[in-house]
Amino acid sequence: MICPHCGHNNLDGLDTCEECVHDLSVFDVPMPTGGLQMHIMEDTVGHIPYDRLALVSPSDSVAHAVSRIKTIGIGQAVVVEDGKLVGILTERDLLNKVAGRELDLKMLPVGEVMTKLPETIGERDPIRVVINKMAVGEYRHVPIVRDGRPVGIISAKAVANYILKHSGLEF
Amino acid sequence: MSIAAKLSEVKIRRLPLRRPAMVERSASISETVEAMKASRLGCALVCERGKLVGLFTERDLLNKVIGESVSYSIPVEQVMTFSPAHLSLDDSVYSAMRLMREGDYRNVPLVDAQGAAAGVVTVRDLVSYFAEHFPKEALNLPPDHDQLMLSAEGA
Repeated sequence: MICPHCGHNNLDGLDTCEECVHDLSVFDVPMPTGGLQMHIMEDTVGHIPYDRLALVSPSDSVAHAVSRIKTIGIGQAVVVEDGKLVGILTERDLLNKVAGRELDLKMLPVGEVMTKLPETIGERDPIRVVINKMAVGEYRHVPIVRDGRPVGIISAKAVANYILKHSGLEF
Repeated sequence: MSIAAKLSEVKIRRLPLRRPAMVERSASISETVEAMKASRLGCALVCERGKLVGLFTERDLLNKVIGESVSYSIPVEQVMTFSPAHLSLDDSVYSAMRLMREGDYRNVPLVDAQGAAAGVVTVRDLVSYFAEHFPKEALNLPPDHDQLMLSAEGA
């Protein structure tokens, strides 16, 4: 790395120039160059359209939650207690814990089959954070919370569509 | 290579795809559900002599089976989606993103050059591909110069 102050050729990754002690650390900060990079690094979760929420309580029946999910036309119910997020009930929970079993869904409480305390994100978090969480945790949906209260949910589909929209491949 | 060029040039077969459940159309819903659970994917490809004839997804399960008076012993072909939209292993990542958006799909079945069912690409595969191949954008968070540690490291 050439020092912009004295022109000394330093090894890459040094924080200061070996010759003149000029600060080189700022040159290692990833900076968006424009286009999609800029959007992903700087846009916040609020830039992606949220899905509507199907809100249920842990004591509601699974039958009730399924009916809410179908009415709203989304892939999961968000479970709240005193307004705070305590879980989500996803299609995957229904596949793994309900499908094919002899269960009375009207008597089965949501709290017994939901995914407890899911990973969440704030509206002001950058989009790269939600991409990271989905990739690392293998989540398809991440609830958006404000002071512990769910205000929306972001899906992998919405993230993929956002990337496509800003990819420069479509005009 | 730019993101746009990569998305339109990289073929779907290059992604680390998981092997989906594949069942015959005469398989029961119950057998199909068990195969889906084992695959850890949200769909099963329904085949006839190796050819893709249908797709059964978690969404089909929710909409047509759970909470409905449908027996898990009936053949999956009665509740599957016939002739689902699909792509080839040699189509681009971009074409998968576009098809998912246009059809509002989360899973797109894949066929090989002979038309045999060969796999599935999911919307999560695409997000993971993106995170892995554009790590600077998606994974590395720029350092916060003004950050103060509340305690010494290791304390």
